[in-house]
Order: sequence, then C-alpha cells, then structure tokens
Amino acid sequence: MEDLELVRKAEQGNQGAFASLLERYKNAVYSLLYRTIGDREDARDLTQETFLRAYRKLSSFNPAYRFSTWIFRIATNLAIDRHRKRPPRTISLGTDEGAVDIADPRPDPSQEVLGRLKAEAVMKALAKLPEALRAVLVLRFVKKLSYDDIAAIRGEPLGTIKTRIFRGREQMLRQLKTEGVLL
Amino acid sequence: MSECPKDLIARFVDGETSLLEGEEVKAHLAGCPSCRALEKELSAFAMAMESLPEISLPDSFTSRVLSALPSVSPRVIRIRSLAFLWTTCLAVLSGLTWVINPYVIGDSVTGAILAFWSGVRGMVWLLLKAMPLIDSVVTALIKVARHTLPHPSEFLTLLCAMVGLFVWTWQIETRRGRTKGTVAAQMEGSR
Repeated sequence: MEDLELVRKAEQGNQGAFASLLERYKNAVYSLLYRTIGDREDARDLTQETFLRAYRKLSSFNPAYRFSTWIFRIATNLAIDRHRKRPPRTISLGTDEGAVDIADPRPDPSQEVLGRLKAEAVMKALAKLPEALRAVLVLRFVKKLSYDDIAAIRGEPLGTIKTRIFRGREQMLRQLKTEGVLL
Repeated sequence: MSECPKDLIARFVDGETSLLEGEEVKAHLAGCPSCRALEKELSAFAMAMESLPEISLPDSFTSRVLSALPSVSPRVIRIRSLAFLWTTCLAVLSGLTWVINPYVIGDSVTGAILAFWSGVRGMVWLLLKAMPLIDSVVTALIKVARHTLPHPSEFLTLLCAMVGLFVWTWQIETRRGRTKGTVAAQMEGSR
C-alpha cells in the first residue's frame, strides 16, 4: 500500500496503517538520528518522539511532499532542538554494536575487519564536524537524498545546503586522507 | 575552461548537475588529470559514506510507540486544537470587550463584578477548557437577575461553549465508530 493511502487511513484513526508506516520508516529515521547525534539511546528516544509527533500532526501532512521527506524533517528538527538544549561534549565513534549489514550479511572476515575500520574512521571524521554540516552530509550520503529534498527537510535555502555539503565533505576528506582511509 | 570548477565537479559526482553542466564537466575532466583525481576521490568518499552499516531497532520498538499513541485520531486532534485556538481567541476577545466597555464598568456593583470576571476569564480559560461553558452560564444568570439583554460578548462565549460541546460529542461519535480489533489485525488489513 502506498504511503499516502496509509497516511489517509491513519489520519482517520486506523493505528494499523500507522504501524505500517512506522515499520517502513523506523530504521531509516533511527539511522538518520544516530548518525547525526551519535548517541544510540538518544537516537532511539528521538525516533519514538518523531513518530508520536508525526501522528499528532498527521492531519497537517501535505501530500505534495513525500512522507519520507516529512518524517525526516520532523526528526531533523528534533535533533536540532536536542542539540540546542544539550550540545554533546563528545560523539560516539559509532562502532555500531548490533548493527546489521543488510548489503552483505556474510562478508569475508578480512574484508569485514577492513570495512569496520573504515566505517569507524568515517564516523570519527563525521563526529568532528559541526552539527549543521554533519546533518546535511548524513542526509546526502547516508540517506542518499537530493539537494532539493535536503533543503525541504532542513527548511534552508538550496544555496546554503550546497555550501554545507561542499564544506563538510572537504573537511571530512582532509581528515580521512590524514588517517590514510582515502588515498 | 580557465579555472578548475571543483564545486561543479562535486555536484556532478552527486548527480546534481543539469545535462549541459554535465557535458561541461566531462569535457573538462577529459583534459585535466588533477580534476579526474578529484572526481575519483569524491566518488570514493561517497562510497565510504554509503558503506556505513545499516542499524536497526528491535521489533518491540513498534509496539512501544503504538502503545504511546493518543487514544483519539489525528483528525480529532487537529479539530480539537483548532477549536481550542478559535475559542481561546473568542474568549479573550469577549473578555476584552467587557474590560473596555464603559457602560458595564460604570454600572453599579454588579457591573464591576462582571468587568472583573470578564477581565480574568480569558487567561483562566487557557488553563481550563470548560471555562466558556461555565462563563456563559454565570453571565446569563447574572443577566437574568439584572433583567437586561445579553451583551454581544456573551453570544461569543456561548458560541465558544457550543463549539466545544460539538467537538466533544463528535469525538465520542468518532471513537464509537472506530474499527474494532487488535493492532496486528489492523496492520494485516492495511497491507
């Protein structure tokens, strides 16, 4: 069933339809929040708050946008609020305990170690960025969203998004090259 | 091209260039080894970011969120919040009309009591949703006691009470009309 149809049903009080939306997007929202704020517990709480807020505001959902864009926007705003109220002193390096590698469930052990080391280095470089740069890079490269979608989610001009992606990527590249992850 | 268009190359790698810009970048890359190296680097970066492992929530997360959902539908929540907003505006407006009405303020002790009551009720109403209903009853009783016609602001508060009553009864009807059954059964039906 299409997202829009599920939204319509959920808006009328069908919690089953909302549960389907929840199942469809919970991991995407969770990974977005975790990669942005770097704390597993906080990311889980904010994911729950994202869906509760989405349910309360479901009647104001504009069908001109995709549901994913809308839910990511709510999640991003919550992450920004959380960052303002409680700026993290350090961010988890993201060793991803319990992470599920969907693309390759049984990789070669040596490749797995190399991949994990690389992922750790990427997360470390990502964690060093200011929140605004980190958030747009996650939306672009982890969530694979277009510049336009990111601008809609962040509620910022397209030019600002382009600049942030450019600067954020430049800083990360410098860091990753220093550590020898990217040659 | 006189200068290397790094920004354009980055957008090209991201798939965010127009057809014309794409051709421009390709032409530049063909003749510029350092920009070809940059393109490789940017592609490697994108792959490194995309290869971050997926993380997932436990299955119990869904039931935890569902159990925390409000008991009323989002549509009812919206109508209630709109009704709340409008009745608040009306209540505050009606309170203001009493405060600035010299006829009421200038009239006897009853008038002064009315003015005081009207002045505070807008703010009090924000804390107590049922205030318009109580308010209408109280002011109507006072008016009956004074044998005068109701003030226009009383019509507004009466309207607030009616809207509130409508939303309340409508909400009861909606809740009665909701699909019965477990969440799991509803999920099955919505797939």
